Amino acid sequence: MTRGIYCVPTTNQSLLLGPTAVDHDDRRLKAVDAETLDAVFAAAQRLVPSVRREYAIKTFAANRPASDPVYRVAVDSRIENLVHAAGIRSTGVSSSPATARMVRGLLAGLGLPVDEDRRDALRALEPIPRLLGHPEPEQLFALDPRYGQVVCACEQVTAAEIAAAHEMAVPARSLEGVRKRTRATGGRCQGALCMAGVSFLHSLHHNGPPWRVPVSEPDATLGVEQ
Amino acid sequence: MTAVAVVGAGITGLACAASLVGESEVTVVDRIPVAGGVHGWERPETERLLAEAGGARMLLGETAIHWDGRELMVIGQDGARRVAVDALVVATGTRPLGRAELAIEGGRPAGVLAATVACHLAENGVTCGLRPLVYGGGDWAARAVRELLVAGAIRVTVVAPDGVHTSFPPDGRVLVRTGLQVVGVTGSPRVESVRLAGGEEIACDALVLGHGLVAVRNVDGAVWAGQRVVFAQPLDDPASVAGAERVGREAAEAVRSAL
Repeated sequence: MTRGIYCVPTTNQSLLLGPTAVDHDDRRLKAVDAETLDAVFAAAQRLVPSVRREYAIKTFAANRPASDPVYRVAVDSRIENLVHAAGIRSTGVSSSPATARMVRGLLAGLGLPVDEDRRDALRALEPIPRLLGHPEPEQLFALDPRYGQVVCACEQVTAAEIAAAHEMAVPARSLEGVRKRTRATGGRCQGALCMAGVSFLHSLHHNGPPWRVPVSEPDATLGVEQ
Repeated sequence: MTAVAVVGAGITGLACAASLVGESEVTVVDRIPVAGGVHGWERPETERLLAEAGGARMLLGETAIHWDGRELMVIGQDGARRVAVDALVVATGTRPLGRAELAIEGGRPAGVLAATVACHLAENGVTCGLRPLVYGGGDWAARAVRELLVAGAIRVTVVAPDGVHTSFPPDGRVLVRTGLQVVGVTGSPRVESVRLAGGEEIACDALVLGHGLVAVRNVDGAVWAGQRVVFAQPLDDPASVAGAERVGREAAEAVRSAL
């Protein structure tokens, strides 16, 4: 189920082509196949004829949240301290303020002190200032001298940004986690020049051997035990 | 006097700088704090070209990030520099093709690594796989085979789609197969096998991508051919020091005619 194929300019100055949508039950199933990719490129070229397959930097499939029933905003039927705000298909961003109000009502219904003024609560994650596109990079060096060390050259991600991704309130626990927070390894070369360096920084932060660095899920390790 | 910036202090970048020094004000930038690039800083040619390019300003251990047609932004330990020049030479080398570029289908298991990454990890003692499959028949594939064996691989299968065009280590643990194409990868959470065109499956616990070569273009604003940009990135495999030097000298000639 999808509204069709889009060509979406991203904030990373790249173009996102797709999506398709296929229902399945296995959340680990994230395979791409040649036939679907051919169809996506053909459809994208009808919109933007200059799109060239040879410049594709990454092809991927991912999971969208799906649940039965849909729009599950409720206290869990079995676990008393679990509130769901899930199964919201396509309208997640636009419905989020209303969903938040509903969740607040549910929490109040559980007898929780939702009116308490908690000034120490974390309302938003601290953004990590980026070198890429920064008009005055000099200002960044005062924040952290590690801005002088560019680790991922394609996306211009520095050691300072990677350190911040590991030390923030919701720290990165995998290479994918670092990529999603900083874009490191996500550029044109897809980590061909920097993934080893990012892995070593990750293993230092988590004090474990580099082979055990998770690429994505905890058991998907970079290397193997010798 | 005109001013020229050269990004990359490998043989190609040094040869270009050596040709231009004396007639232009030359600045050479490299991410790595030593010169020589993939051919290494201990090569006699590196030393010779470094001496020949002696009048150039060397910014080693610094990264060129942005070119606007007049100014090159360079980031290093001392902060940001803006180097005003009349022309930019991009001599940033090459890398093997990535997974999307090779159109390999399947999921996203761990253990699928660029040969550049596998070499870097293996050189630091990381075992990338006990039974890795190395894809490619050129320099990067051969280097990956050597490094993987040192770092704990028990058996290495090489799949070289265009045949072997450099020397692979003669080793009983290495099986080389030619004329075959990898089209898919399976396994979760780690790669378990690759599929070849024709349907054959080969079991492995790592897939190392070392096939093909593409120019590395990571200076923002100098990705495509444009005004005042000259690309000097030899794509020959196996790479030769003489070929790299020739491409550098040709780039210098292109800069002269452009200015």
